[in-house]
Amino acid sequence: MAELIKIYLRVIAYRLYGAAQYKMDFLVGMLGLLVQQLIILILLFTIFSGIDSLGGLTLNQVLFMIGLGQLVRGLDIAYNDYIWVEAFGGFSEGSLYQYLTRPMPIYLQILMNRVNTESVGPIAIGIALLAVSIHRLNVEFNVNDFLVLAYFIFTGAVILFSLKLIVASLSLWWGRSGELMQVIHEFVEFTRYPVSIYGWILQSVLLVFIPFGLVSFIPTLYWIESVPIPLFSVPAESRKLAILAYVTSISIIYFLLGSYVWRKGLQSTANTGT
Amino acid sequence: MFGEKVCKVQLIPEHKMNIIEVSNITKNYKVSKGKSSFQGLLSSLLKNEYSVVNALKGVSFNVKEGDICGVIGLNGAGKSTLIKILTGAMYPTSGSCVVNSKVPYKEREIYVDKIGVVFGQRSQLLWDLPVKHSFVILRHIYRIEKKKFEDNLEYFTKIMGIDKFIDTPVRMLSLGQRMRAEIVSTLLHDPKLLFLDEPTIGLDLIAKSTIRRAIKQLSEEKGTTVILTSHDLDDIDVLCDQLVVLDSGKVIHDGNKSDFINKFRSNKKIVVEVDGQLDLKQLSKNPLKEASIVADNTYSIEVDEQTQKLSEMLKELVNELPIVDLSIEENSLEDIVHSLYH
Repeated sequence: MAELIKIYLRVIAYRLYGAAQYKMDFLVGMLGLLVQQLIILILLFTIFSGIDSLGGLTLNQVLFMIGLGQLVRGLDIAYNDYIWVEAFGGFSEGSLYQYLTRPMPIYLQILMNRVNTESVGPIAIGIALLAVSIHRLNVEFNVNDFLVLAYFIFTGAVILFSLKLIVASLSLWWGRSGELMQVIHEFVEFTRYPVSIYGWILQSVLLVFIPFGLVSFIPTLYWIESVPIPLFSVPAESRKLAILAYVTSISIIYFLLGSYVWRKGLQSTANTGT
Repeated sequence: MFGEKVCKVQLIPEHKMNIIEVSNITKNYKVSKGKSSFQGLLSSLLKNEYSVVNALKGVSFNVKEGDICGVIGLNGAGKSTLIKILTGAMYPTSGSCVVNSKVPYKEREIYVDKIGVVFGQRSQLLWDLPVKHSFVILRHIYRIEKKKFEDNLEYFTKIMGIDKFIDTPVRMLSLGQRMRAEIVSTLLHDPKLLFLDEPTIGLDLIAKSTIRRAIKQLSEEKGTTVILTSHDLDDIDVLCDQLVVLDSGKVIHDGNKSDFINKFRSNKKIVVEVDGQLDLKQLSKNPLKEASIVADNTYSIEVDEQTQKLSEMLKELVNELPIVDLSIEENSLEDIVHSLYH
């Protein structure tokens, strides 16, 4: 495993060198993402100019939630972006055959194909929003809190990875599943606002079936005790533990599901070809 | 003692071992039946109908270590399926396949460490980076020792003639240069087997010739076994010791390439150029009745030596026609395969 990570990092270093050949592409791409973030923030400030809280969360709490979401999504874009190419027909055009003839795990080879430098935008904005909101929230953030935050960044990344893996694996049967991936990805837009503002149907979708709500909204509630956890009633004394258990179990379930569908898909292509 | 030369003698075993043993392989696919009407499309969403395609029907053959084996056949003959099974990317429906003492599809990661695969229409080089950077990445992927990597790089860049553009970004290379670099990229880890899928597709004559010469040299000097599929039968004709011909999922020839050519090369062609336009129907004996027109006033006549005497045919032609030029040609491998399929 350590050797694979070493190989991955070496290859990624070359990819970064390759990406550096296209400085203009990088600047334009990052500018696009920055503008997108700014629009979200302007919209948010406009909303909060008329109200004190949204779904029970104050402006600073929403900024914390958005910051966490942006950081996790930025990390996901950075290392796990190439799967989009495969979902949009890459496998059926022969890439899978190429992966299969190299002595490395297939998904690692997909990850090695690209490091998306445009992710610098959301990662930087995410970190900045987290820093500003933690400072302005006047909450005592000790070492344990930072460890929990790091854990939520990790589980959020696992959830995004697993969801993409499940949908991308479908392309191993269908030839392409990028369109479905795009539709599911659109649900991320709902998590720019507190999930508590939506009705129970959308809450169920975002907190169970397409669990983007567990990337940033539910982790934010770990530090905000005044807002109840949607869909579940949890006693106040075990609230923090319940949130940790909820996020952990959904991450594990989706990761296992993703691995299962991926393995089945590979088995299917080994039987039928791509 | 000092100055004594040490001669390395490469011993070539008289009885080469089989490196590929394919026995009675079948492969059946389920293919979704396409619907032309909108109503059919809607019903297919609810109930998908399949038909079964028998891509391989009991394919058996062996390849000896160090040989170059050509696999040919028309589109849909089963070549790609066979190569996918041999490279470990696909399971057969039945039958067995042992390559380099491994079952490719059961021990993929260990097995592929000892093979190289070139896809004529897919690149494993990094588009934006100099060629050498791709090689270094492959060094890490295949975990090649530094010394071995450097020695191999020097050797293969020389025989493929890529040293002049090894520091050029891949996107700036011609198709021929890229293919040569592509082949080097699959050889750096010293594979025992090299699978070449259409390595000369789209290349000019000089590039084709360089690649063929290098493959031949590689096979002779390193003893690498090469499996080659190509639509360019000259590749097969120049390179291969063994030939496997597939037709509709079955092997219709497996053996020495020369045997195949001798078996089917009994037919010869007489090519005649005549003076002026001829009205073939006006000729009394009409020796050109089976001829095909090659160019203006030039005709090609197939002669089956088992039923026709070449000398009599020639006599007939000379007596009957105002001949300007005449030549007798043997059928090329391409002609033979073409006549087999048609």
